[in-house]
Amino acid sequence: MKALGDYMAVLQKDLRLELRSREVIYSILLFSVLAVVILAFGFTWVSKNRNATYAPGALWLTVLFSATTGFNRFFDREKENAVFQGILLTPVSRAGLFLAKVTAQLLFILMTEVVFVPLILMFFNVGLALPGIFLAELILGTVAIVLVGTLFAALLMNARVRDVLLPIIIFPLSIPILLAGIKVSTLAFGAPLAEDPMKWLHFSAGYDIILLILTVFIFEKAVDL
Amino acid sequence: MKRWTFLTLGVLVLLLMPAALGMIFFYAPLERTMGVIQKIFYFHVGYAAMMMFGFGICGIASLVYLSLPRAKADVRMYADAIAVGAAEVGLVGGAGVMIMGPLWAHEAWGTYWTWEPRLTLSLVAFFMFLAYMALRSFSGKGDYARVVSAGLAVLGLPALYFIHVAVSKWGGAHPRVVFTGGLKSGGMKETFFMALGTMLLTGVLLGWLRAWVEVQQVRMSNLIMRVDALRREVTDE
Repeated sequence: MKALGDYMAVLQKDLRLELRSREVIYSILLFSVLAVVILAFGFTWVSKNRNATYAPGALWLTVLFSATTGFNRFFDREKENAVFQGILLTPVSRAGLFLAKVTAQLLFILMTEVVFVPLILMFFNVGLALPGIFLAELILGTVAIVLVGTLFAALLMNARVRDVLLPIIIFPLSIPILLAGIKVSTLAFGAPLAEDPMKWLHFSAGYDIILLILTVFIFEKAVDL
Repeated sequence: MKRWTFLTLGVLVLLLMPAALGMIFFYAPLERTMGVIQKIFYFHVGYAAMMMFGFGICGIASLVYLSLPRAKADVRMYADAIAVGAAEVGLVGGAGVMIMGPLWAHEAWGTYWTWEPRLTLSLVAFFMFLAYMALRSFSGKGDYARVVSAGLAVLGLPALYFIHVAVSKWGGAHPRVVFTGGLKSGGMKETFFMALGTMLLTGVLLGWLRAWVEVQQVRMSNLIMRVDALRREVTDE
């Protein structure tokens, strides 16, 4: 019960801060919209009839890259005046703290996805044949990236080369979700249904659950060293 | 006792290595269609085994390191040392696989690279443990860097399993000669297992050495801290 209260308190604080400064959402949003434009420019300029082939890759690259830029911004705020150390000095539930950070970051990225996913559909000129499954996979995939990213962004907050370390950690750990996400999006963008997209949704959900258990475990072990 | 086991292992590797090389180049027959290029196979599988065992052991040792309470500092120190040793041996194996694999693939399949399950898995595993070593070297000294990199190794194992599941669903074309009854021609099988055994023993030897260096470093820094504490006591009085 205490964990839930701590979770709500930290989440409220993060959401209120973001509502006032909007720096995380703005930076992810600007980056992702520009990324979409550049990817669309690169992929659809010459080969206009292969848009549906490139759209899934462009979508997931944008999700991954924009999320990665967001993690650094998000924890810059915690670094100033040693806010994070301050929070850790209180008897706050570690799991609650971590999950609140994950939820806040997840909400920010989902909000930007509301803007740039339609942009991708528009630029690549693809329709959504399976909107429900597409949305479910988008959320499941974002959850996995956010779990890994938040964990290592929090733990490496004071590392000198955090900007370099974070992507090289997040990218390999996101590959399972990229594979599933690209497969599901290809099906959702109207490719002939050669296989059941549900099995890829189950795959992503399974990966999310394992990541959730392990990241909470690692966070608790690392912050209370 | 431990020193003698280590020395025996070292002498064994020293003897086995030239024997294995001799078998590969002079005893094993030439493969009919691929010719001399097929001899990469004897190294390639050994390196791949070094990589996979190294990463597996690193992940398990890291999980042990994270799970044990802080009171068991001694066991944790050894678990962490084993994790580093295994990761570095795995990286050496991975580098070998990544250099030799494409060379062989170009001769055998006509292409340097395909997104085939085992290739994809090896490549991602290699990058994951490259990140592990980067994390260990750049995120500062002491227990904190150890815990964070152990966290990455622990996350790496399920990630690799899921990648394996995912890319297997896409299908693949990797040769599975050894355990499905290939390698029938005289001398190939013996040479293969000789080479594999030698490579694995070399890996154990190198990993052991690296783990031992890590343990000595930890003991040294503990000693320095104790000396500092004693010096402070003396100057206070």
